[in-house]
Amino acid sequence: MAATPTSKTSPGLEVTASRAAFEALYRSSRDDLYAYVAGVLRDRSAAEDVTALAFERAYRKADRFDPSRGSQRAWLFGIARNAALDELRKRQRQAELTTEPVDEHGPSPADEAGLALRRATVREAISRLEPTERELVALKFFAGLSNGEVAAVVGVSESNAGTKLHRVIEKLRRACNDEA
Amino acid sequence: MTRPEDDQDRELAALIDEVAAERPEPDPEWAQQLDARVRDGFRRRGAGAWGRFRAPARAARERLGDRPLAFGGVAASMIAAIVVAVGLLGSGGDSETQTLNGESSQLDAPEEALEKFEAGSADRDALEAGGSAAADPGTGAAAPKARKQDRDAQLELRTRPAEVRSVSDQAISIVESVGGVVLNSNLRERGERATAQLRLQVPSGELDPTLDRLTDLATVASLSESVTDITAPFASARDRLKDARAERRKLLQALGSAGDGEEAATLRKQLAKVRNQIARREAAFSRVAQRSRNSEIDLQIKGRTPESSGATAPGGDGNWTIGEAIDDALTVLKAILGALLITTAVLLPLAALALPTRLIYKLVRRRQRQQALAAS
Repeated sequence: MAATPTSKTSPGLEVTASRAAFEALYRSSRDDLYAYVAGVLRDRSAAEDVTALAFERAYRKADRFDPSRGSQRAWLFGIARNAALDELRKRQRQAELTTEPVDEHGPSPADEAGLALRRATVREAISRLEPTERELVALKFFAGLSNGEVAAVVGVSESNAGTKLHRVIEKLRRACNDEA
Repeated sequence: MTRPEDDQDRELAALIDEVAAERPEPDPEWAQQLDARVRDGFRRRGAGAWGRFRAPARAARERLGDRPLAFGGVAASMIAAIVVAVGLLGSGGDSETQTLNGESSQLDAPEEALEKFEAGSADRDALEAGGSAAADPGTGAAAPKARKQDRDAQLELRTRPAEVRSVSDQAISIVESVGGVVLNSNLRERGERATAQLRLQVPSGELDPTLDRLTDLATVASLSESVTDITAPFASARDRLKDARAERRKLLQALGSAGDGEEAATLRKQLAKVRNQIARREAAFSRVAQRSRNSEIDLQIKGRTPESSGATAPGGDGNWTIGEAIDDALTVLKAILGALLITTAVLLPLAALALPTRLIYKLVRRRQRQQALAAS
């Protein structure tokens, strides 16, 4: 997705190239973006609306992307973050995920009970995190962003983001061990 | 044998996997709908026949955000600035200072000045009729008690630059037709600008009709007259001359009865002195009399575009010439330039305020989002 199209291409080709680049970004980020937004909002229907809104805004503002300020994914997730936080401001309520995610590659029947317990423990630990810590989990582990991209989205330095993520993992580990 | 660090690493890796497994997955149906919207370029549903017009407009609004408000503000500022500039340029020539009978008064238009001058000329005519001829000092006859006045006028005419020379020639013809003379003339023509300055002298009795005819040649920009009563200096010069001549008569009589000799020589010397005195006093009297007999008109003819009040040069045939078109175009360009300057003066402070305002808005918005996240 070119912020500054080359001067030698015709306008039609520029539009086509830009659209193709956006679609490539969309295909590679759709599920990650949804996972992040759902992790922040903890509401599937709201997450669907906000994810679609974020992609639409990114589509309309594609010409404003500045490569010097970060990667495309960081820019896209920044748009999504603002949309999600605006939604939170409007709703000002906590919502739980209303349905369990469908796991197509589920465990074997023999391990299902133990795994379910473990997952419930982890889920409970995540829900007890501070909202800012939960957001970091959503960005890093749900959306798969790098530390640098996480830092760009939340507006901190990369080392600061790494430190925060480490502390969140430690907190989760302690919480899971305590539950166990 | 595993090290404790290895156990911790494996435990950490397992935890990370478990956390990642909690990742929410999108609903496939919703995902398909979003895929379709992306392929359509996020075109609004139900746009109908006008969709292809509404969508770009909506997209533009989305892109511009609050900018239409800014553009509207700029447009409104420019319109206001153009109105102000045209008004300022159009009002420059209406107010003129007139000086009549030694008094200054602010008038709205040159035509009013002319009416006042004409109203006052009737009084001046009555004064002139009371004693028009200067008494001859040589006859000794009793002179009528007439006031002597030194009247001068300053007249400024405005016409098109191309007509300055013609108006100047006509003014000279008028002066010569009443027995007057041109004391001094200066004509300058430089591109679109032309001015003529003439110092004219006419008999005092012809001053008013001459001014009437001169004011018909072009638009009167200003008209002023000064009147100085010179009765006392006139009488004084006349009496001194009379005295000197009387003295000479006495000396001549004495010389006639003196015969030859020393007394006659003395008388002749005195006569010579008196003759010189008479010559000087005749010159002085002549100068004063000249001031009362003739009036000077300081005439300025300026080549300018006609006043916006609609006055046109006399004799104009109403056709719009290229020169007039150029003048009008320059007037419009001046108005536009004035509008741009005023708009810049309005927008610069607004822009200076807009930047910190935008920064404050962004900071407030960011703070609100952080608070929303913290409260979630």
